[in-house]
Amino acid sequence: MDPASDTLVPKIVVKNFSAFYGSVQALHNVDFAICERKITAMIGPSGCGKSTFLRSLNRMNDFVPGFRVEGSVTLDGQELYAPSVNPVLIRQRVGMVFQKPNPFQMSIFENVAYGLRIQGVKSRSVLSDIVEKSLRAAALWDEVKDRLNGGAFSLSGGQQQRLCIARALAVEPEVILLDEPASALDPISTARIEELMQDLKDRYTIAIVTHNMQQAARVSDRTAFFLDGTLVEVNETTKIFTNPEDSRTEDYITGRFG
Amino acid sequence: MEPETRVSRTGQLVNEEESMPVSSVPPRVLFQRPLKENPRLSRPEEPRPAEKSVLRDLRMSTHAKIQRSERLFQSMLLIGGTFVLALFATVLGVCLVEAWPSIHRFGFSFLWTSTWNPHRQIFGAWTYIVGTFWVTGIALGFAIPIAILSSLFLSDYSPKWLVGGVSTLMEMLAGIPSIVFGAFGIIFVVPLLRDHIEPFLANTLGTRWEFFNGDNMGYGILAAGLVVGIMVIPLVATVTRDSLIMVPRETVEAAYALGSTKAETVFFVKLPAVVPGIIGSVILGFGRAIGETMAVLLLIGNQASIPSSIQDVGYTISSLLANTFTYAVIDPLYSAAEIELGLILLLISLVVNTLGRELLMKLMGGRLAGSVGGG
Ligand SMILES: Nc1ncnc2c1ncn2[C@@H]1O[C@H](COP(=O)(O)OP(=O)(O)O)[C@@H](O)[C@H]1O
Ligand SMILES: [Mg+2]
Repeated sequence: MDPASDTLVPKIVVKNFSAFYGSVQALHNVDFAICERKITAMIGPSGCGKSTFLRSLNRMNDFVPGFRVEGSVTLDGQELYAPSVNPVLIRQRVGMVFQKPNPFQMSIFENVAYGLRIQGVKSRSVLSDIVEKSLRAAALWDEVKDRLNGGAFSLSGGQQQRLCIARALAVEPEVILLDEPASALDPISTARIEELMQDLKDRYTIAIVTHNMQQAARVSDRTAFFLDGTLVEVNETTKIFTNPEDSRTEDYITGRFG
Repeated sequence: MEPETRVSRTGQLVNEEESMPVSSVPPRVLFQRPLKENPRLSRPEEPRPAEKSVLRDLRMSTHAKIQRSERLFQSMLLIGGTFVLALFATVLGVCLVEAWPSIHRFGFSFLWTSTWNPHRQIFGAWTYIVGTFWVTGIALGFAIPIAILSSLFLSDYSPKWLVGGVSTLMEMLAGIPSIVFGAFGIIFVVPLLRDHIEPFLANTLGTRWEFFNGDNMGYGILAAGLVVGIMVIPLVATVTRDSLIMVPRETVEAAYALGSTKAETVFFVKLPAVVPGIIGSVILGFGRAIGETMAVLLLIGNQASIPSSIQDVGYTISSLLANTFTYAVIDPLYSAAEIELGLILLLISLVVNTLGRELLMKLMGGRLAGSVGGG
């Protein structure tokens, strides 16, 4: 792969991180780094804690009653769970795309403009520029440029998901978290989203959860394997899929369980 | 991408839920507990004796039998539907016949004539139409914001223990007979308006706009409108709260993930998502407000004049009918005019309902198309 990729700059560093839903521990002492301008894939069987981990990176789990964490997560050295940190500001820097496309009940334009509007951008021309730029970046512009004022729900599922990506890009996050973004989509839409991630990699740090190992192998630079709330192994994707160090990883990717 | 993947698993589209090999599950499984997520963890199916299939026997049930039950069901529905239509046609027909003398005599000018004089046999609806719209307008103007704010509070800001209590209260409120609200208006709202709110209005807004000035009597369109508003609040609040609760968690999460605060999420994302529900409930509320009779009759002052101030007394179509119809029946033209008023009420409701529906359709259009085309 590309030779410059050897320089790994950690963007989000997770140390001795545990997460609990009430008394149930969902993550056990995870140590992990998500590196700048790389695509990091997280794989593992259903219920192993991938989503919990991902959502801990932009404090989306704050809304789950009884959720609490131990250990440390830092974004560019700043502790995410420090009491002085406002999660709203974290989420402006760490965006998220969900499993099910979830556009707002608004026009296509307003969906993408939403994040800018709440951050105080008022100028119509600035909004238009960024909306176009974001839709182009999400490879959706050509399909929707003539119907920007149409409802977002008139788009197909794959288009809606790309709209959600455009919406996330519009607020210029530093990190984008994707939680199984293609699992509800058809193969063509899936391929488009995977292509799109390659394009975005130059400018963003990307973390993607997928239970589709072929997808992890296709799109990511690094892959982390989770099992029962622990991080079993993290390494270069090539290494994980050809010569994993842990036998459990090997069992999983060869389909012996899961 | 050249990594030699040793992946030998299923294709990329298979969801975790779907990856269960459905086709290999024997039909009997319908009556068992569902399989665990991993088919390998569940017990292998025991081979079942072929002759003991209840389902297969049931399926032998013939085409004719199915058809017979379908027809029976259809004819039952047909009877019900026809009855409702016939009922409506009868009511409308009788009203039209009874109102005909007035319709014939006054024509369209009935609508904008404001004289109502049984002795001189001149009848015009304008005063009552205006009074009706004043009461309905004040009621909705008062009820809608309060209902929306209270349901936002209940769905997103109130402590959990309060939600159940207030919801029960709302339902009780909706079930109280309107005469009780009327009485409440007389003993509480009228004095409150007379002694506090109306003097306050007169001294503040009233010094600049005559519209807020008046004689501070308490009775009038404001009292009637507010009390009808109280009756409309539960209707709008209940539907709005239910729609708010039904806003998908995914939508709310999307708002937060874009860096919205709670207030931004609630006002800019949740509220727009429930606008169709609110419109639907406002149509219901409009129907309730425009037809409300007893409470209005007790509070509006029942004086056939066109209000020029919010403190003025007035008269609505329904309260006029309630007050005078017993006298009117002995005079053919008088009763015809009153029934024509009733028809106007019906017509207004019909128009508002239709417009509301159109608006809903327009708003829902994108969503409906999405549910068909999405995938
Ligand atoms: N909101 C929640 N409340 C309680 N337990 C939860 C919640 N979300 C997830 N869990 C539990 O945490 C564990 C990890 O779940 P999750 O992170 O969703 O796994 P994955 O995304 O890998 O499928 C599971 O055992 C799940 O039941
Ligand atoms: Mg998950």
